[in-house]
Amino acid sequence: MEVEVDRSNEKMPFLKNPTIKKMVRQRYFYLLLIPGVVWAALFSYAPMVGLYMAFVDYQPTLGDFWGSLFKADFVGFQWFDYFFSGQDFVRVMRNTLVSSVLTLSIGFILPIFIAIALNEVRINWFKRTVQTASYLPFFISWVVAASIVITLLSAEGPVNQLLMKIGFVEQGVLFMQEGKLFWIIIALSNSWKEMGYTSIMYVAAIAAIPTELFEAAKVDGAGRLKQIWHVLLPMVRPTIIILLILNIGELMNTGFDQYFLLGNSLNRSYSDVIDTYAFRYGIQNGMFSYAAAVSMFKAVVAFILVITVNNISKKMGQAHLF
Amino acid sequence: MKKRIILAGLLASIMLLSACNTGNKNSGNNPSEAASNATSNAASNEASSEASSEAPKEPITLTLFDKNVGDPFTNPVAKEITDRTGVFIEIQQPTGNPDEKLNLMLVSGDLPDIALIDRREATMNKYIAGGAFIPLNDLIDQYAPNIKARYGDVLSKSVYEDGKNYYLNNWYGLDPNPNWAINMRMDILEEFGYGERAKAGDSFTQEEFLDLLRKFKAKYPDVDGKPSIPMTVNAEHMPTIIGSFKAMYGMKTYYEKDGRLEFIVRDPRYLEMIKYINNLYTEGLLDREWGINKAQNYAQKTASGRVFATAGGVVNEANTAFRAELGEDTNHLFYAFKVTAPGVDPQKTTYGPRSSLGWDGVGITVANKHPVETIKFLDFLASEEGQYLLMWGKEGENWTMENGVHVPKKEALDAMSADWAGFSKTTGARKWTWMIRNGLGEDGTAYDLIFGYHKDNVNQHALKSMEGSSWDTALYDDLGPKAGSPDALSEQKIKDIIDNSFSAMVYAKSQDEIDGMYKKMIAELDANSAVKIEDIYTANYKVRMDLYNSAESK
Repeated sequence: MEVEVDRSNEKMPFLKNPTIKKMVRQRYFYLLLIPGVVWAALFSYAPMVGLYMAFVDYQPTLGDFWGSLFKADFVGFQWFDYFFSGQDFVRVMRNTLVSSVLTLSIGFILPIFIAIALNEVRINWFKRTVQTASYLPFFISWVVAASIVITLLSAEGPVNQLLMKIGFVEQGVLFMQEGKLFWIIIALSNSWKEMGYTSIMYVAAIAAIPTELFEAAKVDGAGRLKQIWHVLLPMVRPTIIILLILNIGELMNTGFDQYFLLGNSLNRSYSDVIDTYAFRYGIQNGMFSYAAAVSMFKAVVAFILVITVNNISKKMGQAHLF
Repeated sequence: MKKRIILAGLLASIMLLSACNTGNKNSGNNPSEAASNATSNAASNEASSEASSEAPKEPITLTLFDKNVGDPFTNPVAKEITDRTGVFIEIQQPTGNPDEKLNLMLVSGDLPDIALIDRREATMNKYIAGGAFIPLNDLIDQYAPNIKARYGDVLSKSVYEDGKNYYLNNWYGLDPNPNWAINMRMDILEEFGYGERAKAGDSFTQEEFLDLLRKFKAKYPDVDGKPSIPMTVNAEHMPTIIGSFKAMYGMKTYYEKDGRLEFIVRDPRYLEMIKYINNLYTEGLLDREWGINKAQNYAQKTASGRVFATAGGVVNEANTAFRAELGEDTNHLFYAFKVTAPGVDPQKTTYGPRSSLGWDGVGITVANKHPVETIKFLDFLASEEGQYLLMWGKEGENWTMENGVHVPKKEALDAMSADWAGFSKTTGARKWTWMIRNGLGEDGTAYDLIFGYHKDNVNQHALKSMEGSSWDTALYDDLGPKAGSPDALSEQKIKDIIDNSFSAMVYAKSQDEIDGMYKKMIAELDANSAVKIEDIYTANYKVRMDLYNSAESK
């Protein structure tokens, strides 16, 4: 009786390689991966070719984007040089970093509080109402949100009227034209807009904690606060750390709309961040190369930030992204 | 365990993010695009089928980009244009920032057949330099008798570096209507004994104006329980505010000294002006929120009765509100006046910057397959007949000819005064503002029916009170360095410095402080190579002057 032997391995010796073997075994997973890889290659990596624009003196000409890009005069680091040597660099960097650190320190902690508080609420309808109300602002566009903020904070707006009623101030505070207040206004309105939405992720993470852990803690005599401290927080720590890493990567990415809409010529020295600066100098004046250089600088710094925080987290034996 | 939670957390966040992203995209863009495509398709089908039944020749369809209009080309005026010229226009939706869209169309090569671009913006030069517009000189000579006759030296003043015309000016000819002014409430002026002078349209001196503001504040510290605001402005139009104060001194765009153009802040009177405004602010006469008032706040404040004076354009919203509240013949209205700085002749004030070469330019792109039909189409629009069709609507519908004079119908006038935007939309009058000429037609009626035919008492008065304050900006527009050069960055930087210092100096606590700030500003300008930019202005200005002189002597 003849036994059929699988000889395919002999014909293709590379299949013996353990890595390849593993890949063949997991081929369907790779199939699932393909759309994601294609998406990233197309939309995240391919456009990076355009970064070349930051090193040339690009002028748009009709129809032929690539042609005019690669034919443009190579100027090396001239645009970067211009950016770093001007007095704007320090001011813009300061505004970007201070306002986003401020946003991060307020906006990062609030959602955790909301999620924990929601978790403790036992009345279902109340919980759902609060959750909806807190994440609604996320869906309002900044154009609308900014005019709400401006109206609230105007010299005769509700906030000032309240302050005057309780006798805190005599004359309305000019919030929007006092440059020094701008960072805190931005931090608060950013947090207000994002907190409900971010808290959903924590709510999901909390829901994934096995109830036995809480029950065990209860048997051991832990009250509600102790349960939060010893069970809930350690269990959601990985989520917190991952979101923190992601957020720190976004430090340079302050967002554009809120600064553009809430900023005015009176608070510009405090409200001009990298994005609005690149827009005013680059896009509005048709200086695409300069805008590209400024934005590329921003992306490089963001990249370094993410890697650093991730490595620190890894070293400390905590959750990390990669 | 830990790993699984990380994974779950990550997955959850990714799913949320992606769900949100796709959700946004779907709800944000596609339906509206689809809808606009559908309507424009439907519109073009409808129009072409209708037109083909009447006109012997099938009309050609041209695409057009105009940042001001997105309506389908289907109203009565549009149909009449298609009947007369055999051209149907497909309007491209102007979404977002027009310059961004124009740049995108340029680099992608996806050009409309006809494009309207602000002629004072860098985008216009990019289109010409990038080869997107075709030269029009030969086409005009051969096919466009009306354009040739009516544009005159406007065309020879608008040539590109190579001496050719690439666009046709829109809203050309010096607009005779007043532009900016110091607006004051007539009832208050009468109350303080200036009634007769005010009615006669006399100008006021800065001293008198200051005195009026003080008197208003003293007599009406509160209006309806809220503190009064003697003077306010609309901060969304910062150039208008600065311009109205500069006008008191007769300052223009630049400080001209020994044949050189310098930044206006170098004018010694600029510092004087700042001190005057600062004084208004420190005395509590100028709105504390002058620097951040949005159009809405401005409309609200001026209509509340708490405001005596403003700087800028005619205060339409407030005046409409006052008329509705107090009756048509009320004198509780803002009227336009000149206020003059010491020693300045009222005739030399510069309240009305206007460009004789118009706002934007109409260009034919290289994508256009029918340049001859297009120039004929534009020539019809530029003709006397075309102008009245565009601005007044169809003859017989909105107006009739009586003894050689255009007379609007009563229904049209009523509809117009009730809701001019709705009137414009339904009848098509003043909807398509292409190739428009300012001023009066051959029979003496204004081309602009909606805003020029019937003048209310405020506008009638402004004609008199603001007389002689208009000036032509065409010589000074767009003299800066070429877009995309490092010099353009310096220019932007200098403009930022000037803007920021203006606000800071007006908010200064004392006049001594201003002197220090002014010195600092000038030092900052020079540190940012202001002299080099001024050299560029001066050189470009000389070229412009030569061009104009030769165009005018032709």
